Amino acid sequence: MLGVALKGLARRKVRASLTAISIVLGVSMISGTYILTDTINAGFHTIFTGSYQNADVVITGKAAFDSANGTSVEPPTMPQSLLTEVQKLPDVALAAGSVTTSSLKLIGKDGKVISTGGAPALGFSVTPRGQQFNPTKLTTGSWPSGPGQIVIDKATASGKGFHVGDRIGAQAFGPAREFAITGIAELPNVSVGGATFAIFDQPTAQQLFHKVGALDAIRVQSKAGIDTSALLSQIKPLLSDTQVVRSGTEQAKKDEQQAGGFIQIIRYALLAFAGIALFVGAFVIANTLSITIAQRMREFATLRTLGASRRQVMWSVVIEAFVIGVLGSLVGLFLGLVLAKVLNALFVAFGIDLPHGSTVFATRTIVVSLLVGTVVTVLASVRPARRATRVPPIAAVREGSVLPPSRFAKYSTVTALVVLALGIVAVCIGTLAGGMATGPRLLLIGVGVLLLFFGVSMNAPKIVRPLASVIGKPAQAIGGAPGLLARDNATRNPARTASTASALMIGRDHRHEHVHPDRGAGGPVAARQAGGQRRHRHPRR
Amino acid sequence: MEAAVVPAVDVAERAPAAVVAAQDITRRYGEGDTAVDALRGVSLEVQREKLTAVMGPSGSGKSTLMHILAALDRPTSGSVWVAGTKLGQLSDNEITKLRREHIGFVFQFFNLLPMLTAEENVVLPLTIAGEKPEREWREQLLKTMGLDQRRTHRPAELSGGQQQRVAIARALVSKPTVVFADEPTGNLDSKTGGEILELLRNSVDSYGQTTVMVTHDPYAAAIADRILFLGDGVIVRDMPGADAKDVIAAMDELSQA
Repeated sequence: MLGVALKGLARRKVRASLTAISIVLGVSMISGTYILTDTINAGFHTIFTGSYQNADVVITGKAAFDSANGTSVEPPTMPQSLLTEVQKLPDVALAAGSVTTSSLKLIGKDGKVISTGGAPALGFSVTPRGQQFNPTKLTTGSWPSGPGQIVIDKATASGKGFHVGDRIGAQAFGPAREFAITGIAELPNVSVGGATFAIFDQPTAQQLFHKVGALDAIRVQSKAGIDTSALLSQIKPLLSDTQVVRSGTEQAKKDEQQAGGFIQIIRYALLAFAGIALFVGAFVIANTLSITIAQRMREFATLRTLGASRRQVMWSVVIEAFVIGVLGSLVGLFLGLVLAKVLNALFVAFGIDLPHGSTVFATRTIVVSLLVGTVVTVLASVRPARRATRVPPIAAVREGSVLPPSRFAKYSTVTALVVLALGIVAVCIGTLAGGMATGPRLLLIGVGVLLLFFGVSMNAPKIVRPLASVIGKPAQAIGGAPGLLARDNATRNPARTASTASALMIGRDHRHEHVHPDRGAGGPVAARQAGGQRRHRHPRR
Repeated sequence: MEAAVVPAVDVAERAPAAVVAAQDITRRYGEGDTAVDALRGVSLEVQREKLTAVMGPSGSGKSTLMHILAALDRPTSGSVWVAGTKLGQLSDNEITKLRREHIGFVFQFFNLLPMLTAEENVVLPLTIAGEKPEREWREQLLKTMGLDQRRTHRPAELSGGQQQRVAIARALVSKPTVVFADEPTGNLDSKTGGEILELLRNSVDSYGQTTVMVTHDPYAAAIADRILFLGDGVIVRDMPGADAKDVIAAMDELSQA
């Protein structure tokens, strides 16, 4: 039976792949989102771990509070004298201070500030003895060592046509000043996205950032064989309430969390789109399978006459969906790689250029994409599969058999109306009611929209008759008998009309498939010719 | 009076010895004023290892009768037994089991599965039942039906006659208690039809395959061991095997009556 189902699927390749497209798109959204956000996260990770490389512990200012959206308020500075005290500690091998700012604007050759598109315009200091803490590497030139000297990032240099020896304007809090470029630097293995950075020697940076005599961070390296916790406990007594010391890895983690909050928002927003895409996809699949099953009634009926149980018929449909789901998800998974690049390009176009390193294709991405895609497809097939079990064996010998109503058919009108009403109520409360938190409100609207979707599609068959009689009137007037036939045909099986209409809505022509089940087997024409002798059995038609 | 009633009830409740039996079956389509009675009380017993033809003009109810005997349709009243099992009380799964074990079908429009090869179609009933075909039996069937060279062809690559031969092999493969053939030549030209009839006749003679064939073609009916004539939903004549001329004569006689 499994073989029969798979061979049937192989024969309907074109339709199967059309069905799969809807799942491919949804899954590619999922995988693309994960790939993109993972890659961005990895970029941040590289940057932050890089910025504390070789630092066993890091002393920073402690912000009084974190702002609500996860980005922290700029912490206070610490006096430069603290560095001297730290350097005197017996177990300290090396300690170096630095000042940073995220608003150091570089000025292009056209005299205008070089835009970072919302990304930080970083400025920081280097000291000769602190070089081993420096995350950046020179690609050409030398580090700055005087008041008029600057090193700029490679992307800005090549993008705006600056070379070693050129002069460039830089501005932090005071008026713009001119500097001579002594070198070009880069962060190895990672793109900083739209951000720019500029590096000065420490006194210049302190003056430019309005932090004279102050430091933003002190990086400390312990002597060989000294435990980090020992170093931490030595440093702690030196600090005031507004200063904090952490191990280098801990500090990197803390910085990442702050950036991560923003990535998380992007991730959830994109995953919500993926969810919608998959929901619509599930609907399309359910519909397509229903249509396929209506066309394959004779095949299912023949299987039944040959001894197939209802269960076997149902499984053959579910297995078909499973295979479509797995293949569609696989394609979607890899399409996600492309989509991640496209999304990133879109972000850049909208001015959100985020850091990224080499593409991250996590196991989680693979598992979630394949699982969600397959499960959604299989779930979407359950109703059509149950429909298939209702195909009566006698449909094997009769053209145009109609499926008997399901056990739940008598409740369908009530259910459809209740679902529709619940959807309307939920959406109304969600949009209009006051005093509701954002989370529950969004949830309510979301659920309401889903219910509306189901409600409308469940009620669609019921409005076919009145709708067709209205639309059919002019058709009859203009078309005469053919117009009348058209109207009566549309109202004869409203469920079929509604599902055909939704199939047209998603832009698919399945008429040509209709002939296949009979191809080379006499065909519907022969069946109709033979229909004369059957008239007696179908007096109503 | 009373004594006469008792055995009548007894007969209805006891499973008949015949492979297929019907007791006073009726079939009504529709309701009220527009109701049509396709069968109006038919009783019969199908003889083992014989070919029984059910003849009749269009609308005589012969196809309805076959559908009911083959458990494709249920009678409005009356009882049907297949291989000693009364159909009326069976669940869907029990009927499925009955089909697997006891019933083979040959359809007018062949009803082959288009994605399967000829050989796969032939063994499909066993595949569905989760059984492996005996190699010898399968080979013998393919040879007898002249499908030896066609086993990897799909239905679309076969002629109508070849397709019907696949269908006959498929009906025989599970060695069912009874094969039902619904107008097996109705979609074939007369020469090909003749070949198909010969194969059906052979399956009765060589394998003792009990077969019930519905047809309106007197030449088809002429191969039967017994011919039942249906008219207006009742059996109007039960005739032993006869040649086509006699069948035609009988038909004329009945249509004039």
